[in-house]
Formats: sequence, C-alpha cells, structure tokens
Amino acid sequence: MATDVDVQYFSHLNGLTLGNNWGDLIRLLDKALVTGLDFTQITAASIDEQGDVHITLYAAHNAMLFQVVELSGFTPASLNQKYRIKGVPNTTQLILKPALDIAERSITAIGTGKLASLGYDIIFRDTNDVKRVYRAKNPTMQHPFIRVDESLTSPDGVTGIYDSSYAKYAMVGLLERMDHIDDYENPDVLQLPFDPANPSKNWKITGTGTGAVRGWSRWYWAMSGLLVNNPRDMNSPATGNRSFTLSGSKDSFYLLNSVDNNLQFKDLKGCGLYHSSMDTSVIPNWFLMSVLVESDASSTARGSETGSPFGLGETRSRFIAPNYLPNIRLSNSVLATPVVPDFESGGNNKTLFTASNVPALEIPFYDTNRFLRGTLPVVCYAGKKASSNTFTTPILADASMYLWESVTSNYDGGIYFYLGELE
Amino acid sequence: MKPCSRKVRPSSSYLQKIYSGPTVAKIQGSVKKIGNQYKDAIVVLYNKANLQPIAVRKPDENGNYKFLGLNTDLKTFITAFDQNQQFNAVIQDNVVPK
Repeated sequence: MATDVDVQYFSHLNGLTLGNNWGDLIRLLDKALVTGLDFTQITAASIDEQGDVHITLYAAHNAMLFQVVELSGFTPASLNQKYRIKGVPNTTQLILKPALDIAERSITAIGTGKLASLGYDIIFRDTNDVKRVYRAKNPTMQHPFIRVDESLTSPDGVTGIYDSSYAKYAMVGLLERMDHIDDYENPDVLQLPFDPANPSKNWKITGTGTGAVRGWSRWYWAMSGLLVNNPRDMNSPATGNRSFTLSGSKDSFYLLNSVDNNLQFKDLKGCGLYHSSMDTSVIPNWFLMSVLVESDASSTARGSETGSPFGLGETRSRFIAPNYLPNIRLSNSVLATPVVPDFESGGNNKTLFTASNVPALEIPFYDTNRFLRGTLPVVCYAGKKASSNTFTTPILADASMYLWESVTSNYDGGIYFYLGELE
Repeated sequence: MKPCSRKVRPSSSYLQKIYSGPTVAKIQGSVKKIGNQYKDAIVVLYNKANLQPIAVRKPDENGNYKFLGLNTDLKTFITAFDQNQQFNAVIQDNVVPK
C-alpha cells in the first residue's frame, strides 16, 4: 500500500542551524519550504523483495525516520519519486518506502537524493537578501502569499532603525495578492494580520534606539530570555543554536523553536490553510500563529494574548484568522481560540486518556465573534506526555507516523505532528 | 456549514512498548486449517525477549493477518487459537519482522 508523503519535517538534528544571526530564519525557510536538503553522493542503491529502496551515501546523512526523501536521475525512472524513510541502519545508509510501488527489482543508473522540501516557491526576494515572499507550488485561489521580512530599517533608512544587537525576529504575514516584494499597501488586498485603516501596519519600522517599533506579527528565534518571561527586545539575545522542528505541507506549516539556551522550551509558530467548516470563496481559510504585538524595543509586553499555543493557558494559545464577514471582506483580523481538553498539551499532569499509546486529538478553533471556524491541520493535542525527549522525536503507532516535540510548558508538555500513514 | 472535525488520530493497541527504529518492519501471514485459509482464529504475537504478548488480532475475512509498526531487531513467536475449538492451538516460532 502507498505511503503518505505530503507532510514533511525538518529538525536541527538534520544539521540545519537557527542561531543568533540575522538571516538564519529565511535561509532555514528557503531550505525547508523551497529547495530541500541535498544528500551527498549516493554510492550504492538497491531494491529489496518488498520494493523498498536501500541507499548508501558517501557521508553522514543526518536524516531521521519518517522524513520524506526525493530521488531523481535514477534508471529505471519509476525510482524517481518521493519516499518515506522507514529505516536508518547507520549514519550513511537509509531504507526508503516509495509513495508509489516499484515493480522493478534492479537499478541500472544511480541518481541523486535529497530531503524533499514542503513544496513552496520563492515568488519575490529583495536585493539585500532580507525579505522573502513564499507561496505553495500549484496554488489554489486560497493559498496565501507568505511574506517574511527581516528588515532592520524603514525604507528611508532614517525614521525607523532597529538595532541589529536586539532580539531577532521576522515580521510575518499573509496576503491574498502581490505584484512585488513590498506590495503590501493596497487597502483592497486582504492581509493577515490586517488593519483596514493601516494596511502597512505589519511591515512598518518607526523610531530608533529603545523606542524602535518594528512590525506587528512576529516570529522570534533569538531573545535574551524565554518569551513567557517577556524579555525586552533591547536586551541582547543568548548565543548558540536553537533547537527546532519545522513540519507541514504545501498547504500549511509550523515552526516550533526555542529562543534562547533553554532548548526544551519552544513556542509554536505557523501559517497557511486550515480545514474550514465554512465557505472559503470570499473569506480565505487562513491562520497565523505568531507573537502579535506592536510595542517598542524597551517594552515587556510580549505574547500575553498569543505566542505560545497549547502549552501555557488559553490566552497565550490564541492565534489569528481573517474576520468571517463576507459582506465586509476587508475587516480587522480576529483572534482564534483552540478547542482542546486543556491548554497544557502533553503535560506530565494529564489524566484523561493516558492509557492510549498515542492519544492525539485534532484541534478545532473558534474566533472572537463565536464562529466555529474549522480545524488545524497536522498539529494535534497530546493527551499524555509521550516522551521524556525534548527534541524532534518520531513515533509510530501501528502504521501511523507522528512526531513528538516539547513546547513551553509548566508541565514538561509537548504536542504531536501527524505525518500520515506509512502503509 | 460542515461539521468541524475533531478526529482522534490513530493510536496503537500494542500491549508493550515496541520501538519502531532503527528500521520499521512488519509481520504478515495467514491462518490455515487443513491447507485452507481460515478466519475463525485468534492470533497472538509474543515478544521472545520477555515472553509477554505484544498484540492480539483476528485475521481478516480471507484469514490474513498483519502486525505493523515493529522493528527488524525484534524476535517474536506467534500462536493461533481455533475459536471453534476443533483444533489445538498452533505456534510459529522465531518470527522476525521484515
């Protein structure tokens, strides 16, 4: 039976870095979303009697169970497709289960391989290499333009300057249409987050020094302390590499990363399409998880209402969605609240259904106006503490593939990412 | 408005913790009675390391069974019990997931 290959993941355990450096986030997103991660030369390849492909690489692959691999340039051509990693015998060998069954049992030409990307294109980039606009390949009308901006100065270079030694975060938002990298001022184009009176609100940098205000919807990856402790952006971030898991598909993705040297405490970010229970032709089914705050670099106001979904109580678990007002389409975005048994997913204090081996529950949500909007893809509430691991951990339940990852929590909690069925 | 999904994602019913790595593997086979496929059986998979059951299954309509989510390092044995109690239980020893 075919294996699901739509949901991919990446981890710091793959050798990707997210450290205290500007540019690290967009370069990580470039690899995970767009290019994938190339393997070194494949020195040997074979097909076993079950149709699984065994490959040997020239150097260590750093790959993990259940990641999606893409092979190309092989003969027979039926090998040129996507696979799930079902075996990691050692640091240079992998066993791959194909998405589509392979009839042949011999390989005549060895090609190349990589960890497949989630399936996005870079639509726009800037000459200074600090901004990106990503969009799903073969997009539908609903697929948003995902703008990620690490700029530190206003366009005039004078009125807004954010010191490069401050906390590192990108301004992130979704737009329904764009013609160039800075095309975010059109009041007729819906954004998330969106203020119809001020369409560029999410992308503005104003003020200087500790009074600098930079953006509105923020993805932090380097702070001087945990987000929950509300550190000031003006305080220099901790050095060192962050631990992270990035998981999702061409429809949506999540980034769960630490922000300082406390690598087990990670805050969930994410964006894309959710499974809507309502018509999406006028109001798109977008969600965005970020720290939503418009404050200056000296402020301690960080994420009291958003920013740490599923681990730290109801208010911090909130994220945003477009306002469901088809008759007033261009409205202020609204807060979304997850429907979960509690807001301490995967904590060591769980008691409700801990006998299950993998108690993974989909997460619906409702909004400020009391509309039950739909269900988040991939991410699941964890009904028990699945592992003492505080890093990317693959889990198999019969043929169902999951990841366990830790979140910021008072109870050593975590969440599941559901990757699909192995067979 | 369609129903808002709150699915319980699939779990495993295994009776002991089995690691899936370093290589995921499965056991599949069929129950036969006098050479013919037979479905009225209870198939129990045991772990040789601790002699404890890992899982209990009934074969499908054609007498086939499978145990997914195991690993290639696991040593097991399988017993099948006749639910109609016409035959004694049978055992297959040294079954290794592939």
